[in-house]
Amino acid sequence: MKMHEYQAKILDTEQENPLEVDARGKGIENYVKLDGDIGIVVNGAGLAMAVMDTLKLAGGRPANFLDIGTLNDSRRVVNAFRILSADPDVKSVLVNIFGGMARVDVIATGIVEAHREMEIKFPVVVRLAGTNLAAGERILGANPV
Amino acid sequence: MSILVDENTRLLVQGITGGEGTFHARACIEYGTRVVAGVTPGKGGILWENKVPVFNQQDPGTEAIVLIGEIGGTAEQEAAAFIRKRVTKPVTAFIAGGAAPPGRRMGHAGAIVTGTAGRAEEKKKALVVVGVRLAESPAEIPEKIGGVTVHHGGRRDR
Repeated sequence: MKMHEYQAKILDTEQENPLEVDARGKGIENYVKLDGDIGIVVNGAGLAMAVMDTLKLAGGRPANFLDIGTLNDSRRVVNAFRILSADPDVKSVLVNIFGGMARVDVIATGIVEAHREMEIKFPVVVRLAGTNLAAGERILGANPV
Repeated sequence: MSILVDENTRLLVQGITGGEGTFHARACIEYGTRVVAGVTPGKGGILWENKVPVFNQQDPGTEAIVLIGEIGGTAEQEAAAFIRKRVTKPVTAFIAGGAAPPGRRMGHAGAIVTGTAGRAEEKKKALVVVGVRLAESPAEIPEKIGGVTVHHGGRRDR
């Protein structure tokens, strides 16, 4: 049996943070719950950590680490928002995307879909850069959230 | 983080004259990638497979170096040792993950802090000791690159 199969077998999910278990179930492997109130959605683990560092420098506290990866699927962005919405500590969300293989227009579509599919009560700040930026900005502009 | 390579990207291959470098460079060229240069220390000046110019490591066009590191492993400490011995150009570093909780895996496998060497603070210490400037956030990098340096052999004094 492979290591990850063995781990999945012996892992007692009741001992883990339920939000993290839920995230894995939604296909988001790289989510770590922290104790702050600013939720983050970032592509790339290094960039996500840099965002956390920069937030702390500015006096903020990240609510989580979340690397959304390069899978170009807007559903993953929607799931990220589901997880952050389920965390009562989250009072605002910062999305920071520097798109290389991850495309900005797909992320933008995900942000719009997330707002349509659930009630998002907290402010969302979005910073976009990289592949298909213009298309992404058009999508956000056309769908005020 | 990733880079989207297309038919316009100009690619440089590190170690192009070696086994791995040759294999991958050939595959890239066959696929249509523009391999414009290779780097192999000591073999600068030759033309690889009669197609691609090879350079030694020294690039006179580079004036300053930015090192982006992260928690986990000891690559930054190894870089510090190398910088001390061989690098005279000014180096600025940003180490990500200072705000990450110890013992948790942050995304890809290397970014986990176990023991002290993997901690951001330890990496920053190792780099500062050999004269590297530290940026506390990516935004600070440009201001840290600027400035006057005085060279003494292989180390910098600020």
